[in-house]
Amino acid sequence: MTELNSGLKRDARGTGLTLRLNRRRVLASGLAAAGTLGLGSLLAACRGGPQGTEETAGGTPVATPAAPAAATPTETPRQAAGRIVVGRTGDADSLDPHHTIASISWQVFTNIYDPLVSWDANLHIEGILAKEWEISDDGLEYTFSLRDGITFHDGTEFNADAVKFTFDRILDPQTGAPAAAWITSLESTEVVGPFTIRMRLKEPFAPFLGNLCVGYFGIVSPAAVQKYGDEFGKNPVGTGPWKFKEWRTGEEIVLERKPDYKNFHSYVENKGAPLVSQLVFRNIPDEQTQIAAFETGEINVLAVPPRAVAAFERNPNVQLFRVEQSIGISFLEFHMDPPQGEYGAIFRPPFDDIRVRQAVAYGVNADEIIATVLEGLAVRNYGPLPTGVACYDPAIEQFGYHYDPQRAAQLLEEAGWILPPGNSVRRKDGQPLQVTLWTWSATTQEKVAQVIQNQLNQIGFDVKLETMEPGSLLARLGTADDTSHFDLMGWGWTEPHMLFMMTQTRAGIGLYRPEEYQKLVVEASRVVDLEERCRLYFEAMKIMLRDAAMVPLWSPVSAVGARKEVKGFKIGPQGIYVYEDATIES
Amino acid sequence: MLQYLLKRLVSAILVIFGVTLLVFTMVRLVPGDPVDIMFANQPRPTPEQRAALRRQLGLDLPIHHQYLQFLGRALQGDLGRSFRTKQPVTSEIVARLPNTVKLTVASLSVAVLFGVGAGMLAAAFKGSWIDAATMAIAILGVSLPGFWLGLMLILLFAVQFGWFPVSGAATWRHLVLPAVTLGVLTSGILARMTRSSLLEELSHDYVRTARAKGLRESAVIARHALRNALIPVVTIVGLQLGQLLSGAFIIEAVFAYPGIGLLAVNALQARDFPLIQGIVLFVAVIYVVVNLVVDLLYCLIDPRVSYA
Repeated sequence: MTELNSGLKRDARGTGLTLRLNRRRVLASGLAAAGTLGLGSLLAACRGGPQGTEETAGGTPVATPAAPAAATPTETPRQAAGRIVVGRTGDADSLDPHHTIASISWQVFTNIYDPLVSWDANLHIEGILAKEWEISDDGLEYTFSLRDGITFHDGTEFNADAVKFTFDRILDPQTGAPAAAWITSLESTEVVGPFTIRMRLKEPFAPFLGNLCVGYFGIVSPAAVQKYGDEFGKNPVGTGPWKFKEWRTGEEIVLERKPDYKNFHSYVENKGAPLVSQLVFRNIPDEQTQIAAFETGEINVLAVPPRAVAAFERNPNVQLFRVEQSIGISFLEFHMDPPQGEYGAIFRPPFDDIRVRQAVAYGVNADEIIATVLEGLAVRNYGPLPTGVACYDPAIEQFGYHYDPQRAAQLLEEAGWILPPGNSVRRKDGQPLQVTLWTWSATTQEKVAQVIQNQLNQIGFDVKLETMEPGSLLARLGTADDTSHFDLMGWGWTEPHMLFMMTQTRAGIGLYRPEEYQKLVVEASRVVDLEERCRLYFEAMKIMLRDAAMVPLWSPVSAVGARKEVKGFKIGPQGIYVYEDATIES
Repeated sequence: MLQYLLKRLVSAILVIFGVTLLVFTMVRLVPGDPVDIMFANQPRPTPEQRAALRRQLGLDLPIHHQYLQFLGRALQGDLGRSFRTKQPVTSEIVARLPNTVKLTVASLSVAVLFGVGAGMLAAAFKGSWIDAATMAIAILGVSLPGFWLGLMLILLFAVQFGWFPVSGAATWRHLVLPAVTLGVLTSGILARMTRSSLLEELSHDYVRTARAKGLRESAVIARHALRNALIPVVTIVGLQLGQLLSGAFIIEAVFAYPGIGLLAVNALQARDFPLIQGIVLFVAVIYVVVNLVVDLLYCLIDPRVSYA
């Protein structure tokens, strides 16, 4: 983190910065992770899940704690006592899930609200507030039976009206809910019975349920929304395991356990109320201070800055969790111009020659970067789908590019880029093979870019490095007068639909829209059967790799530390922090 | 006096005006469209959404127009709303103000205590090893980076000894380490000022007279020389108040102390332009006001000074 910090001043890990999801592209998480953390925060938002915030992208079901003890469920629920204090960089902007998309806020409110459905440990969808659901054959109607006997923190009953209220609120343009964009296919929500709700889609949209798993679709108490109005974001009321107690702006947010909570997440062993009395989110912007506060026990859960991972590993008082499955992907993308009419050759020279793009893919040694710069905090990924997202398939490796500098050199020769005697830069028609690599300023990110620069220079490129503020990078990408470049980028999402989404932005891979690829990813968004969807996505990825439209590098891995007195803390699906099995040992 | 006051007021207003202009332009020079940055939060804005937001923010107006609008509202205490929290900037600042005031007062006390004390000690033992040691420490105080000193104090007194908490602002104990850090940084310059000013006073005739009366040296210094010696020190204290405010940006971030400095750091991280703008303007106003007040206080402390 620090790393980023510098640029963005630390935001990373947890933090806050919220910037953009919109472009999820950037930053997405991915970055985050791997050290790339920089923007991590920003992106995190997108991910639905990760709690860690940015960094944590992870995805997997229950990551393995380094210390085995951590995973042990508590056998005898004792009197709830103690506090879990999570250290992070930054403060939430709003705890109204329909008014923000900042990961730093999501990290808190995802504990206050329950969604209708959620991912289980195997990335299948399970019911939380919804007991079960039925999808009509045409994929247009989703009918949910809701659980009864659940109340909001303010005593309001949870029922079909509350669900309708929530979704109407999200779709109401007045609300301006950022997350509305993820369910644009939702046409209407109607109450069928006191505990039955029907959602009607405008068109079949397979990612619908998966998107609903994200915390931004948490069900809010209608009574509280009416009572607090614009101040609801400061007085959040949901049905989740933790209810809001106090928010000292800039300092901490305190939640306390909901005593009558029933937990329906299959990955949580404790089916009742949380075992700890309070859950606190502390804003500590400085990484060193975070570590010091962790040492003294002022905070007891922390997304570990990559540079500190080794030290945490050696510390017997710390349980270190690695979130191996991630919802982020880091990759290199090439400058493209928007397709004109028929999709044609739109890569900017010299990348308009596929052999040059392939040379980049063969010329970058991602494993070396992971081992050195990223200190092992990333998983090599040969395809564009992150490791923690449904439909991720390691078999994509056989269609990916493995480090092979000879092959890269040979491809460049074939493309006419010849190494003049006594020269280290290839030339063609008198022009040197000069390319510019863009990335945003953050220590780790810049280091990664430098290593890539060096690796490519060894096969005859002359790579110039240009780093800039994340804001300017985003602003410059996709503008018409940009100089030719390629860039180190990251994306994060919780649903394989990202293979469609990431080709719909205004720059780089966002402009990759050949018909055969688009047909597959659009079709995949209409097929309800997950297996069939995955097959379609796999085919789509093969095409993207065949075209060397981007160079997938790795999925970032985050590390989370818990002090040894925190027993039972664990990492859930897609990197979410699970506090409900945790106890504090005095 | 009145004329002087008027003159100072006019120049203060000019300074603040200049600051607004500077801040306003600088924020807009930062690369990246603010709308893009705000939409960071909203996946896929439509062109209509963007246009609506631009209108709402007044970004569709010519820049001089925007500036006048900003100025007009600022005069009415309306600094706009934070991009992130959507709360009025003024209320965000006011909410954090008490913490920063507490920290400033506490660190100023530490600075005066250490600084003036050390300065007196050095002057009293001029030329001795005490003088040399005190002044060496003072130089160190001036030159230490604040975040480093803060971290060292954390490691020692929080992690090692466990006497004080690392972060936060819940109790007075949370105030100690940040106040000492800031205070020590400021005390160096006060110590040097006090020493040289006191030495100068001690060379005056009235001091010789006092000594000749048989007063003890401690009484000579404390009752006679010090009062006069402190006049320039007061000016420095006033100026340091501004320093303390800016030092607070870093120190508050190090100690996760929720004051205006931390607010600023978080605002910068989030590219929250209205908030950054508001904080800078606010700090500038404080700075100008404090300087004015210090100058006016001058005539209270030293009847010889008159602005008539």
